[in-house]
Amino acid sequence: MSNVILSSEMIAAWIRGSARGGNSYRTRWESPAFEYVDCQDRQSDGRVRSDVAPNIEREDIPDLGYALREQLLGDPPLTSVGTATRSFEFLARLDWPESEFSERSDVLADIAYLLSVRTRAQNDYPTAQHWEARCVQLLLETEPSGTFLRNRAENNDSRADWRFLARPAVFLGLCHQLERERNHRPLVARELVTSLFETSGTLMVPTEELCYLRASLAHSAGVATFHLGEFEESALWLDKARRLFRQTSYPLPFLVSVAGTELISKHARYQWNEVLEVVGPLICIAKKLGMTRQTATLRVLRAHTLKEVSRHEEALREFQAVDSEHVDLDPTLHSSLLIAMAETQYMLGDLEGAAGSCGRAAVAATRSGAPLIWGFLHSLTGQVLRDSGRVEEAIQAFDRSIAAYASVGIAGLQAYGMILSAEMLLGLGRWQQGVPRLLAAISILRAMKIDRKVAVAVELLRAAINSGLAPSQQAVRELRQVLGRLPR
Amino acid sequence: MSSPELDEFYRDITLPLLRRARWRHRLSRDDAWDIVQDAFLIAIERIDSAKNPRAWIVQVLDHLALNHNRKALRRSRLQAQWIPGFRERGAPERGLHEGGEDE
Repeated sequence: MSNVILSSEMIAAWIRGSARGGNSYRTRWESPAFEYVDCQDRQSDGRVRSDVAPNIEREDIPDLGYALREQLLGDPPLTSVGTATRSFEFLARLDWPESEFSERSDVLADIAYLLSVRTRAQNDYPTAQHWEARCVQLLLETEPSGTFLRNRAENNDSRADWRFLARPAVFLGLCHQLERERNHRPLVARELVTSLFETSGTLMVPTEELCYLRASLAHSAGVATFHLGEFEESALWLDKARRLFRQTSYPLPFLVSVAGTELISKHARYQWNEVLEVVGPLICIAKKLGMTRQTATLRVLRAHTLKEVSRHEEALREFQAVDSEHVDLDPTLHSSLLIAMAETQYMLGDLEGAAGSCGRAAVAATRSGAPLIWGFLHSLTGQVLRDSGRVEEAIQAFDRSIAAYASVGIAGLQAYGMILSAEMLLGLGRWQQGVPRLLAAISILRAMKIDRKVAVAVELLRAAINSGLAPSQQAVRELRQVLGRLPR
Repeated sequence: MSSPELDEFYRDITLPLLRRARWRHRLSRDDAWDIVQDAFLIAIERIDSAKNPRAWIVQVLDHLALNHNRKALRRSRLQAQWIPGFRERGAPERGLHEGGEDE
Protein backbone atom coordinates (compact mmCIF):
# COMPACT_ATOMS: atom_id res chain seq x y z
CA MET A 1 0.00 0.00 0.00
CA SER A 2 1.53 3.32 -1.02
CA ASN A 3 1.45 6.48 1.05
CA VAL A 4 0.84 8.69 -1.99
CA ILE A 5 -2.90 8.71 -1.49
CA LEU A 6 -2.48 10.00 2.06
CA SER A 7 -0.87 13.36 1.31
CA SER A 8 -1.77 16.97 1.99
CA GLU A 9 -2.47 17.47 -1.72
CA MET A 10 -4.99 14.62 -1.85
CA ILE A 11 -6.63 15.71 1.40
CA ALA A 12 -7.01 19.29 0.17
CA ALA A 13 -8.51 18.07 -3.09
CA TRP A 14 -10.90 15.81 -1.21
CA ILE A 15 -12.05 18.59 1.09
CA ARG A 16 -12.74 20.85 -1.90
CA GLY A 17 -14.64 18.05 -3.64
CA SER A 18 -16.56 16.82 -0.63
CA ALA A 19 -17.76 20.31 0.21
CA ARG A 20 -19.58 20.26 -3.10
CA GLY A 21 -20.74 16.67 -3.08
CA GLY A 22 -21.53 15.97 0.59
CA ASN A 23 -21.29 12.41 1.84
CA SER A 24 -23.23 9.22 1.61
CA TYR A 25 -21.85 7.27 4.52
CA ARG A 26 -24.41 5.10 6.26
CA THR A 27 -23.98 2.37 8.81
CA ARG A 28 -26.54 0.04 7.38
CA TRP A 29 -25.30 -3.03 9.17
CA GLU A 30 -26.28 -2.38 12.75
CA SER A 31 -29.60 -4.22 12.69
CA PRO A 32 -28.57 -7.06 10.35
CA ALA A 33 -25.45 -7.65 12.43
CA PHE A 34 -27.45 -7.92 15.64
CA GLU A 35 -29.84 -10.25 13.85
CA TYR A 36 -26.90 -12.31 12.68
CA VAL A 37 -25.55 -12.65 16.22
CA ASP A 38 -28.98 -13.60 17.53
CA CYS A 39 -29.18 -16.30 14.86
CA GLN A 40 -25.76 -17.53 15.86
CA ASP A 41 -26.81 -17.71 19.49
CA ARG A 42 -29.80 -19.82 18.57
CA GLN A 43 -27.82 -22.14 16.29
CA SER A 44 -26.76 -25.13 18.33
CA ASP A 45 -25.02 -26.95 15.50
CA GLY A 46 -22.64 -24.09 14.69
CA ARG A 47 -23.81 -23.53 11.08
CA VAL A 48 -23.76 -19.99 9.72
CA ARG A 49 -27.16 -18.65 8.83
CA SER A 50 -27.20 -18.27 5.07
CA ASP A 51 -30.13 -15.85 5.01
CA VAL A 52 -28.09 -13.08 6.62
CA ALA A 53 -24.46 -13.55 5.71
CA PRO A 54 -24.46 -13.87 1.90
CA ASN A 55 -26.36 -10.63 1.35
CA ILE A 56 -23.40 -8.49 2.32
CA GLU A 57 -21.92 -6.23 -0.28
CA ARG A 58 -18.15 -5.95 -0.10
CA GLU A 59 -18.19 -2.27 0.82
CA ASP A 60 -20.46 -3.01 3.80
CA ILE A 61 -18.21 -5.66 5.32
CA PRO A 62 -16.27 -3.27 7.63
CA ASP A 63 -19.55 -1.93 9.06
CA LEU A 64 -20.81 -5.44 9.59
CA GLY A 65 -17.51 -6.29 11.28
CA TYR A 66 -17.72 -3.31 13.59
CA ALA A 67 -21.38 -4.05 14.35
CA LEU A 68 -20.60 -7.66 15.25
CA ARG A 69 -17.70 -6.51 17.38
CA GLU A 70 -20.01 -4.05 19.10
CA GLN A 71 -22.55 -6.75 19.75
CA LEU A 72 -20.01 -9.26 21.06
CA LEU A 73 -18.10 -6.83 23.23
CA GLY A 74 -21.19 -4.98 24.38
CA ASP A 75 -22.50 -7.79 26.51
CA PRO A 76 -19.80 -10.43 26.91
CA PRO A 77 -21.52 -12.45 29.65
CA LEU A 78 -24.31 -13.18 27.19
CA THR A 79 -22.00 -14.03 24.31
CA SER A 80 -21.01 -17.66 24.19
CA VAL A 81 -17.48 -18.64 23.22
CA GLY A 82 -18.97 -20.59 20.34
CA THR A 83 -20.78 -17.54 18.98
CA ALA A 84 -17.73 -15.34 19.30
CA THR A 85 -15.52 -17.97 17.65
CA ARG A 86 -17.93 -18.44 14.77
CA SER A 87 -18.23 -14.68 14.36
CA PHE A 88 -14.45 -14.38 14.30
CA GLU A 89 -14.12 -17.11 11.70
CA PHE A 90 -16.99 -15.71 9.67
CA LEU A 91 -15.47 -12.22 9.59
CA ALA A 92 -11.99 -13.57 8.92
CA ARG A 93 -13.29 -15.45 5.85
CA LEU A 94 -15.01 -12.43 4.29
CA ASP A 95 -13.35 -10.56 1.46
CA TRP A 96 -12.84 -7.17 3.13
CA PRO A 97 -12.36 -4.16 0.86
CA GLU A 98 -8.80 -2.94 0.68
CA SER A 99 -8.05 0.37 2.34
CA GLU A 100 -5.15 2.27 3.81
CA PHE A 101 -6.11 1.01 7.27
CA SER A 102 -6.42 -2.65 8.19
CA GLU A 103 -9.94 -2.55 9.59
CA ARG A 104 -10.22 -6.32 9.35
CA SER A 105 -7.32 -6.80 11.78
CA ASP A 106 -8.60 -3.99 14.00
CA VAL A 107 -12.01 -5.61 14.43
CA LEU A 108 -10.70 -9.17 14.67
CA ALA A 109 -8.07 -8.21 17.29
CA ASP A 110 -10.79 -7.08 19.67
CA ILE A 111 -12.84 -10.24 19.15
CA ALA A 112 -9.70 -12.35 19.64
CA TYR A 113 -9.05 -10.49 22.90
CA LEU A 114 -12.60 -11.19 24.05
CA LEU A 115 -12.13 -14.85 23.18
CA SER A 116 -8.88 -15.02 25.14
CA VAL A 117 -10.68 -13.68 28.23
CA ARG A 118 -13.69 -15.96 27.79
CA THR A 119 -11.69 -19.15 27.16
CA ARG A 120 -9.50 -18.37 30.17
CA ALA A 121 -12.68 -18.08 32.23
CA GLN A 122 -13.55 -21.56 30.97
CA ASN A 123 -10.24 -22.88 32.34
CA ASP A 124 -8.97 -23.64 28.84
CA TYR A 125 -5.37 -22.50 29.02
CA PRO A 126 -4.10 -23.61 25.57
CA THR A 127 -7.05 -22.01 23.74
CA ALA A 128 -6.76 -18.80 25.78
CA GLN A 129 -3.08 -18.61 24.88
CA HIS A 130 -3.92 -19.22 21.23
CA TRP A 131 -6.38 -16.30 21.20
CA GLU A 132 -3.97 -14.03 23.03
CA ALA A 133 -1.28 -14.73 20.44
CA ARG A 134 -3.81 -14.21 17.63
CA CYS A 135 -4.93 -10.91 19.15
CA VAL A 136 -1.39 -9.58 19.38
CA GLN A 137 -0.55 -10.76 15.88
CA LEU A 138 -3.60 -8.96 14.45
CA LEU A 139 -2.91 -5.85 16.49
CA LEU A 140 0.51 -5.51 14.91
CA GLU A 141 -1.23 -5.12 11.53
CA THR A 142 -3.33 -2.16 12.71
CA GLU A 143 -2.66 1.54 13.08
CA PRO A 144 -1.63 3.22 15.28
CA SER A 145 -1.32 0.28 17.72
CA GLY A 146 0.93 -1.73 15.39
CA THR A 147 3.38 1.14 14.94
CA PHE A 148 3.33 1.82 18.67
CA LEU A 149 4.16 -1.80 19.53
CA ARG A 150 6.76 -2.16 16.77
CA ASN A 151 8.52 1.07 17.76
CA ARG A 152 8.63 -0.05 21.33
CA ALA A 153 10.11 -3.42 20.37
CA GLU A 154 12.69 -1.99 17.98
CA ASN A 155 13.78 1.35 19.41
CA ASN A 156 12.43 1.31 22.91
CA ASP A 157 10.64 4.53 22.13
CA SER A 158 7.38 5.64 20.64
CA ARG A 159 5.78 9.01 20.09
CA ALA A 160 2.35 7.43 20.35
CA ASP A 161 0.13 8.68 23.11
CA TRP A 162 -0.09 6.47 26.17
CA ARG A 163 -3.84 6.84 25.99
CA PHE A 164 -3.77 4.06 23.40
CA LEU A 165 -2.92 1.72 26.21
CA ALA A 166 -6.42 2.22 27.51
CA ARG A 167 -7.40 -0.37 24.93
CA PRO A 168 -6.95 -3.71 26.72
CA ALA A 169 -5.80 -5.52 23.58
CA VAL A 170 -2.88 -3.08 23.25
CA PHE A 171 -2.05 -3.60 26.90
CA LEU A 172 -2.06 -7.35 26.31
CA GLY A 173 0.29 -6.76 23.36
CA LEU A 174 2.67 -4.95 25.70
CA CYS A 175 2.47 -7.80 28.23
CA HIS A 176 3.44 -10.22 25.45
CA GLN A 177 6.32 -8.00 24.37
CA LEU A 178 7.52 -7.98 27.97
CA GLU A 179 7.56 -11.77 28.06
CA ARG A 180 10.29 -11.56 25.43
CA GLU A 181 11.95 -8.41 26.70
CA ARG A 182 12.34 -9.63 30.26
CA ASN A 183 14.88 -12.10 28.87
CA HIS A 184 16.37 -9.89 26.17
CA ARG A 185 16.52 -6.48 27.85
CA PRO A 186 15.80 -6.97 31.56
CA LEU A 187 16.65 -3.39 32.54
CA VAL A 188 14.25 -1.96 29.96
CA ALA A 189 11.60 -4.49 30.95
CA ARG A 190 11.80 -3.53 34.61
CA GLU A 191 11.42 0.18 33.83
CA LEU A 192 8.50 -0.43 31.51
CA VAL A 193 6.66 -2.55 34.06
CA THR A 194 6.90 0.23 36.62
CA SER A 195 5.34 2.77 34.28
CA LEU A 196 2.75 0.32 32.95
CA PHE A 197 1.61 -0.47 36.46
CA GLU A 198 0.65 3.20 36.85
CA THR A 199 -0.94 3.37 33.40
CA SER A 200 -3.00 0.25 34.02
CA GLY A 201 -5.21 2.34 36.33
CA THR A 202 -6.73 3.97 33.23
CA LEU A 203 -7.80 0.65 31.70
CA MET A 204 -11.56 0.35 31.35
CA VAL A 205 -11.75 -3.38 32.02
CA PRO A 206 -13.37 -5.58 34.66
CA THR A 207 -11.30 -6.19 37.80
CA GLU A 208 -10.56 -9.77 36.79
CA GLU A 209 -8.95 -8.70 33.53
CA LEU A 210 -7.05 -5.89 35.23
CA CYS A 211 -5.67 -8.35 37.79
CA TYR A 212 -4.62 -10.71 35.00
CA LEU A 213 -2.80 -8.00 33.02
CA ARG A 214 -1.13 -6.60 36.16
CA ALA A 215 -0.13 -10.08 37.29
CA SER A 216 1.47 -10.68 33.91
CA LEU A 217 3.41 -7.41 34.32
CA ALA A 218 4.54 -8.35 37.82
CA HIS A 219 5.67 -11.78 36.60
CA SER A 220 7.75 -10.16 33.84
CA ALA A 221 9.31 -7.80 36.38
CA GLY A 222 10.10 -10.80 38.58
CA VAL A 223 11.91 -12.53 35.73
CA ALA A 224 13.74 -9.35 34.63
CA THR A 225 14.98 -8.50 38.14
CA PHE A 226 16.05 -12.11 38.66
CA HIS A 227 18.20 -11.86 35.50
CA LEU A 228 19.67 -8.65 36.90
CA GLY A 229 20.65 -10.52 40.05
CA GLU A 230 18.20 -8.54 42.20
CA PHE A 231 16.82 -11.61 43.92
CA GLU A 232 15.01 -9.83 46.76
CA GLU A 233 13.22 -7.46 44.39
CA SER A 234 12.43 -10.40 42.13
CA ALA A 235 10.82 -12.27 45.04
CA LEU A 236 8.63 -9.25 45.82
CA TRP A 237 7.45 -8.99 42.21
CA LEU A 238 6.76 -12.71 41.99
CA ASP A 239 4.78 -12.53 45.20
CA LYS A 240 2.76 -9.67 43.77
CA ALA A 241 2.19 -11.68 40.57
CA ARG A 242 0.97 -14.63 42.62
CA ARG A 243 -1.46 -12.49 44.62
CA LEU A 244 -2.87 -10.90 41.47
CA PHE A 245 -3.17 -14.17 39.56
CA ARG A 246 -5.14 -15.59 42.51
CA GLN A 247 -7.76 -12.92 41.88
CA THR A 248 -8.32 -14.10 38.31
CA SER A 249 -10.85 -16.64 37.10
CA TYR A 250 -8.31 -19.37 36.34
CA PRO A 251 -5.12 -18.86 38.33
CA LEU A 252 -3.64 -22.38 38.34
CA PRO A 253 -1.52 -22.38 35.13
CA PHE A 254 -0.20 -18.93 35.91
CA LEU A 255 0.71 -19.89 39.47
CA VAL A 256 2.60 -22.85 37.98
CA SER A 257 4.40 -20.44 35.71
CA VAL A 258 5.36 -18.17 38.63
CA ALA A 259 6.50 -21.20 40.64
CA GLY A 260 8.70 -22.18 37.68
CA THR A 261 10.35 -18.76 37.72
CA GLU A 262 10.95 -19.09 41.46
CA LEU A 263 12.66 -22.43 40.88
CA ILE A 264 14.89 -20.90 38.19
CA SER A 265 15.80 -18.21 40.71
CA LYS A 266 16.61 -20.87 43.33
CA HIS A 267 18.76 -22.67 40.79
CA ALA A 268 20.74 -19.48 40.23
CA ARG A 269 21.25 -19.25 44.01
CA TYR A 270 22.68 -22.80 44.17
CA GLN A 271 19.63 -24.27 45.96
CA TRP A 272 19.74 -27.28 43.67
CA ASN A 273 18.31 -29.90 46.01
CA GLU A 274 15.23 -27.77 46.65
CA VAL A 275 14.77 -27.40 42.90
CA LEU A 276 14.99 -31.15 42.34
CA GLU A 277 12.43 -31.79 45.06
CA VAL A 278 9.78 -29.55 43.53
CA VAL A 279 10.42 -29.54 39.81
CA GLY A 280 9.08 -33.07 39.13
CA PRO A 281 5.56 -32.51 40.50
CA LEU A 282 5.45 -29.09 38.83
CA ILE A 283 6.25 -30.66 35.45
CA CYS A 284 3.36 -33.13 35.94
CA ILE A 285 0.90 -30.28 36.66
CA ALA A 286 2.12 -28.20 33.72
CA LYS A 287 1.77 -31.19 31.39
CA LYS A 288 -1.73 -31.93 32.66
CA LEU A 289 -2.80 -28.29 32.06
CA GLY A 290 -1.53 -28.38 28.47
CA MET A 291 1.28 -25.90 29.19
CA THR A 292 3.67 -27.10 26.50
CA ARG A 293 6.20 -24.29 26.72
CA GLN A 294 6.32 -24.26 30.52
CA THR A 295 6.68 -28.05 30.58
CA ALA A 296 9.70 -27.80 28.30
CA THR A 297 11.16 -24.94 30.37
CA LEU A 298 10.79 -26.92 33.60
CA ARG A 299 12.33 -30.02 32.05
CA VAL A 300 15.32 -27.98 30.87
CA LEU A 301 15.59 -26.58 34.39
CA ARG A 302 15.56 -30.11 35.84
CA ALA A 303 18.30 -31.15 33.40
CA HIS A 304 20.36 -28.06 34.30
CA THR A 305 20.04 -28.86 37.98
CA LEU A 306 21.00 -32.52 37.47
CA LYS A 307 24.12 -31.26 35.69
CA GLU A 308 24.95 -28.99 38.62
CA VAL A 309 24.73 -31.86 41.12
CA SER A 310 27.04 -33.92 38.90
CA ARG A 311 24.35 -36.31 37.66
CA HIS A 312 25.67 -35.67 34.16
CA GLU A 313 24.32 -38.72 32.39
CA GLU A 314 20.76 -38.17 33.68
CA ALA A 315 21.07 -34.52 32.74
CA LEU A 316 22.18 -35.36 29.21
CA ARG A 317 19.30 -37.82 28.75
CA GLU A 318 16.81 -35.16 29.84
CA PHE A 319 18.34 -32.50 27.56
CA GLN A 320 18.24 -34.87 24.61
CA ALA A 321 14.65 -35.91 25.36
CA VAL A 322 13.42 -32.31 25.48
CA ASP A 323 15.38 -31.48 22.34
CA SER A 324 13.75 -34.31 20.38
CA GLU A 325 10.22 -34.13 21.87
CA HIS A 326 9.62 -30.37 21.73
CA VAL A 327 10.22 -29.55 18.09
CA ASP A 328 8.68 -26.08 18.26
CA LEU A 329 10.65 -24.68 21.19
CA ASP A 330 11.15 -20.95 21.08
CA PRO A 331 14.70 -20.03 19.98
CA THR A 332 15.77 -18.57 23.34
CA LEU A 333 14.83 -21.67 25.32
CA HIS A 334 16.17 -23.96 22.60
CA SER A 335 19.55 -22.24 22.44
CA SER A 336 19.79 -22.26 26.23
CA LEU A 337 19.04 -26.01 26.20
CA LEU A 338 21.67 -26.70 23.51
CA ILE A 339 24.34 -24.70 25.33
CA ALA A 340 23.72 -26.60 28.57
CA MET A 341 23.67 -29.88 26.62
CA ALA A 342 27.03 -29.01 25.03
CA GLU A 343 28.44 -28.26 28.46
CA THR A 344 27.24 -31.63 29.78
CA GLN A 345 28.64 -33.47 26.77
CA TYR A 346 31.94 -31.68 27.30
CA MET A 347 31.97 -32.73 30.97
CA LEU A 348 31.35 -36.33 29.91
CA GLY A 349 34.27 -36.11 27.49
CA ASP A 350 32.16 -36.15 24.32
CA LEU A 351 33.95 -33.32 22.54
CA GLU A 352 32.46 -34.09 19.14
CA GLY A 353 28.93 -34.05 20.58
CA ALA A 354 29.67 -30.81 22.44
CA ALA A 355 30.96 -29.15 19.27
CA GLY A 356 27.81 -30.25 17.38
CA SER A 357 25.52 -28.90 20.10
CA CYS A 358 27.48 -25.63 20.19
CA GLY A 359 27.01 -25.24 16.44
CA ARG A 360 23.25 -25.81 16.73
CA ALA A 361 23.14 -23.47 19.73
CA ALA A 362 24.75 -20.71 17.66
CA VAL A 363 22.04 -21.11 14.99
CA ALA A 364 19.28 -20.97 17.63
CA ALA A 365 20.98 -18.03 19.38
CA THR A 366 21.02 -16.10 16.11
CA ARG A 367 17.28 -16.72 15.74
CA SER A 368 16.71 -15.71 19.35
CA GLY A 369 18.88 -12.59 19.30
CA ALA A 370 18.95 -12.49 23.10
CA PRO A 371 22.28 -11.06 24.36
CA LEU A 372 21.95 -13.27 27.44
CA ILE A 373 22.12 -16.39 25.26
CA TRP A 374 25.20 -15.12 23.43
CA GLY A 375 26.75 -14.46 26.82
CA PHE A 376 26.17 -18.13 27.80
CA LEU A 377 27.50 -19.40 24.49
CA HIS A 378 30.69 -17.32 24.50
CA SER A 379 31.29 -18.24 28.11
CA LEU A 380 31.02 -21.97 27.32
CA THR A 381 33.29 -21.53 24.29
CA GLY A 382 35.79 -19.78 26.55
CA GLN A 383 35.77 -22.67 29.01
CA VAL A 384 36.27 -25.26 26.25
CA LEU A 385 39.12 -23.27 24.68
CA ARG A 386 40.74 -22.69 28.06
CA ASP A 387 40.66 -26.41 28.89
CA SER A 388 42.10 -27.19 25.46
CA GLY A 389 45.04 -24.92 26.22
CA ARG A 390 44.01 -22.22 23.73
CA VAL A 391 44.14 -19.52 26.38
CA GLU A 392 44.38 -16.40 24.20
CA GLU A 393 41.29 -17.43 22.24
CA ALA A 394 39.55 -18.33 25.50
CA ILE A 395 40.17 -14.83 26.88
CA GLN A 396 38.68 -13.34 23.72
CA ALA A 397 35.61 -15.58 24.07
CA PHE A 398 35.19 -14.50 27.71
CA ASP A 399 35.53 -10.86 26.65
CA ARG A 400 32.66 -11.35 24.18
CA SER A 401 30.63 -13.00 26.91
CA ILE A 402 31.32 -10.13 29.34
CA ALA A 403 30.31 -7.59 26.68
CA ALA A 404 27.05 -9.47 25.99
CA TYR A 405 26.08 -9.53 29.67
CA ALA A 406 27.13 -5.89 30.16
CA SER A 407 25.01 -4.80 27.18
CA VAL A 408 21.85 -5.86 29.01
CA GLY A 409 22.96 -4.96 32.52
CA ILE A 410 23.37 -8.51 33.85
CA ALA A 411 26.15 -7.53 36.23
CA GLY A 412 26.44 -10.78 38.20
CA LEU A 413 27.30 -12.91 35.18
CA GLN A 414 29.44 -10.11 33.77
CA ALA A 415 31.51 -10.12 36.97
CA TYR A 416 31.78 -13.91 36.93
CA GLY A 417 33.12 -13.79 33.36
CA MET A 418 35.63 -11.16 34.49
CA ILE A 419 36.89 -13.47 37.26
CA LEU A 420 37.35 -16.34 34.80
CA SER A 421 39.25 -14.22 32.29
CA ALA A 422 41.30 -12.50 35.04
CA GLU A 423 42.37 -15.91 36.27
CA MET A 424 43.74 -16.73 32.81
CA LEU A 425 45.39 -13.34 32.44
CA LEU A 426 47.16 -13.84 35.77
CA GLY A 427 48.13 -17.34 34.67
CA LEU A 428 49.78 -15.78 31.62
CA GLY A 429 51.66 -13.36 33.88
CA ARG A 430 49.65 -10.35 32.71
CA TRP A 431 49.26 -8.76 36.15
CA GLN A 432 48.42 -5.29 34.83
CA GLN A 433 45.39 -6.59 32.91
CA GLY A 434 44.30 -9.30 35.34
CA VAL A 435 44.33 -7.44 38.64
CA PRO A 436 42.20 -4.41 37.64
CA ARG A 437 39.70 -6.80 36.09
CA LEU A 438 39.56 -8.80 39.30
CA LEU A 439 39.09 -5.65 41.40
CA ALA A 440 36.28 -4.48 39.13
CA ALA A 441 34.58 -7.87 39.43
CA ILE A 442 34.88 -7.79 43.24
CA SER A 443 33.36 -4.32 43.33
CA ILE A 444 30.35 -5.46 41.25
CA LEU A 445 29.84 -8.64 43.26
CA ARG A 446 30.09 -6.86 46.61
CA ALA A 447 27.50 -4.31 45.50
CA MET A 448 25.24 -7.20 44.57
CA LYS A 449 26.01 -9.07 47.81
CA ILE A 450 27.07 -12.22 45.94
CA ASP A 451 29.50 -13.32 48.67
CA ARG A 452 30.26 -16.74 47.26
CA LYS A 453 31.80 -15.32 44.09
CA VAL A 454 33.48 -12.47 46.01
CA ALA A 455 35.31 -15.11 48.04
CA VAL A 456 36.57 -16.78 44.86
CA ALA A 457 37.80 -13.46 43.49
CA VAL A 458 39.52 -12.56 46.76
CA GLU A 459 41.36 -15.88 46.77
CA LEU A 460 42.54 -15.20 43.24
CA LEU A 461 43.73 -11.78 44.33
CA ARG A 462 45.73 -13.32 47.16
CA ALA A 463 47.26 -15.77 44.70
CA ALA A 464 48.15 -12.84 42.44
CA ILE A 465 49.96 -11.07 45.28
CA ASN A 466 51.93 -14.19 46.08
CA SER A 467 52.76 -14.93 42.44
CA GLY A 468 55.71 -12.56 42.27
CA LEU A 469 54.42 -11.08 39.01
CA ALA A 470 53.74 -7.63 40.39
CA PRO A 471 55.34 -4.77 38.42
CA SER A 472 56.62 -3.17 41.68
CA GLN A 473 56.63 -3.48 45.46
CA GLN A 474 54.40 -0.38 45.54
CA ALA A 475 51.75 -2.24 43.52
CA VAL A 476 51.88 -5.19 45.93
CA ARG A 477 51.53 -2.87 48.93
CA GLU A 478 48.53 -1.13 47.43
CA LEU A 479 46.88 -4.42 46.63
CA ARG A 480 47.47 -5.74 50.14
CA GLN A 481 45.69 -2.66 51.48
CA VAL A 482 42.74 -3.33 49.18
CA LEU A 483 42.71 -6.95 50.29
CA GLY A 484 42.77 -5.88 53.93
CA ARG A 485 39.55 -3.95 53.44
CA LEU A 486 37.76 -6.89 51.79
CA PRO A 487 35.80 -9.45 53.81
CA ARG A 488 37.58 -12.66 54.68
CA MET B 1 -7.69 15.78 -9.03
CA SER B 2 -9.76 13.48 -11.17
CA SER B 3 -13.00 11.99 -9.97
CA PRO B 4 -11.64 8.39 -9.80
CA GLU B 5 -8.79 9.59 -7.61
CA LEU B 6 -11.21 11.30 -5.25
CA ASP B 7 -13.40 8.17 -5.21
CA GLU B 8 -10.36 6.15 -4.28
CA PHE B 9 -9.50 8.62 -1.53
CA TYR B 10 -13.05 8.41 -0.18
CA ARG B 11 -13.01 4.61 -0.22
CA ASP B 12 -9.50 4.09 1.15
CA ILE B 13 -9.12 6.96 3.60
CA THR B 14 -12.32 8.79 4.44
CA LEU B 15 -14.62 5.81 4.93
CA PRO B 16 -12.32 3.86 7.26
CA LEU B 17 -11.77 6.98 9.36
CA LEU B 18 -15.51 7.65 9.48
CA ARG B 19 -16.12 4.08 10.57
CA ARG B 20 -13.49 4.39 13.27
CA ALA B 21 -15.04 7.60 14.60
CA ARG B 22 -18.48 6.08 14.43
CA TRP B 23 -17.87 2.63 15.91
CA ARG B 24 -14.82 3.01 18.11
CA HIS B 25 -15.64 6.44 19.47
CA ARG B 26 -19.39 6.02 19.22
CA LEU B 27 -20.00 9.34 17.53
CA SER B 28 -23.16 10.17 15.67
CA ARG B 29 -22.87 10.19 11.90
CA ASP B 30 -22.70 13.98 11.72
CA ASP B 31 -20.19 14.25 14.55
CA ALA B 32 -18.05 11.55 12.94
CA TRP B 33 -18.11 13.47 9.69
CA ASP B 34 -17.07 16.71 11.44
CA ILE B 35 -14.24 15.01 13.31
CA VAL B 36 -12.85 13.45 10.13
CA GLN B 37 -12.98 16.83 8.38
CA ASP B 38 -11.19 18.42 11.34
CA ALA B 39 -8.54 15.71 11.19
CA PHE B 40 -8.08 16.44 7.49
CA LEU B 41 -7.67 20.16 8.15
CA ILE B 42 -4.87 19.44 10.62
CA ALA B 43 -3.38 16.91 8.21
CA ILE B 44 -3.11 19.41 5.35
CA GLU B 45 -0.52 21.28 7.42
CA ARG B 46 1.41 18.42 8.90
CA ILE B 47 0.87 15.02 7.33
CA ASP B 48 3.63 15.31 4.72
CA SER B 49 6.25 15.38 7.46
CA ALA B 50 4.78 12.44 9.39
CA LYS B 51 6.97 9.34 9.50
CA ASN B 52 3.97 7.05 9.21
CA PRO B 53 1.04 9.02 7.76
CA ARG B 54 -1.49 6.24 8.40
CA ALA B 55 -0.65 5.90 12.09
CA TRP B 56 -0.41 9.68 12.40
CA ILE B 57 -3.85 10.50 11.04
CA VAL B 58 -5.51 7.77 13.11
CA GLN B 59 -3.93 9.27 16.21
CA VAL B 60 -5.17 12.73 15.26
CA LEU B 61 -8.65 11.35 14.72
CA ASP B 62 -8.57 9.50 18.04
CA HIS B 63 -7.46 12.61 19.90
CA LEU B 64 -10.16 14.74 18.32
CA ALA B 65 -12.81 12.13 19.05
CA LEU B 66 -11.68 11.73 22.66
CA ASN B 67 -11.75 15.50 23.15
CA HIS B 68 -15.17 15.68 21.55
CA ASN B 69 -16.53 12.99 23.85
CA ARG B 70 -14.95 14.57 26.91
CA LYS B 71 -16.52 17.94 26.09
CA ALA B 72 -19.90 16.32 25.45
CA LEU B 73 -19.74 14.54 28.79
CA ARG B 74 -18.77 17.72 30.61
CA ARG B 75 -21.57 19.66 28.90
CA SER B 76 -24.05 16.96 29.79
CA ARG B 77 -22.94 17.02 33.44
CA LEU B 78 -23.21 20.78 33.64
CA GLN B 79 -26.64 20.71 32.06
CA ALA B 80 -27.75 18.05 34.52
CA GLN B 81 -26.44 20.22 37.34
CA TRP B 82 -27.95 23.52 36.25
CA ILE B 83 -30.99 22.74 34.15
CA PRO B 84 -33.89 21.33 36.17
CA GLY B 85 -35.23 18.08 34.74
CA PHE B 86 -32.25 17.50 32.42
CA ARG B 87 -31.06 13.86 32.48
CA GLU B 88 -27.34 13.28 32.36
CA ARG B 89 -26.03 10.94 29.68
CA GLY B 90 -22.63 9.26 29.58
CA ALA B 91 -20.64 10.26 26.50
CA PRO B 92 -19.81 6.72 25.37
CA GLU B 93 -23.48 5.82 25.26
CA ARG B 94 -24.47 8.68 23.04
CA GLY B 95 -24.34 8.95 19.33
CA LEU B 96 -24.30 5.47 17.89
CA HIS B 97 -27.99 4.98 17.66
CA GLU B 98 -28.81 8.64 17.30
CA GLY B 99 -29.15 10.69 14.17
CA GLY B 100 -32.26 9.19 12.73
CA GLU B 101 -30.84 8.98 9.24
CA ASP B 102 -29.18 5.63 9.75
CA GLU B 103 -31.04 2.57 8.72
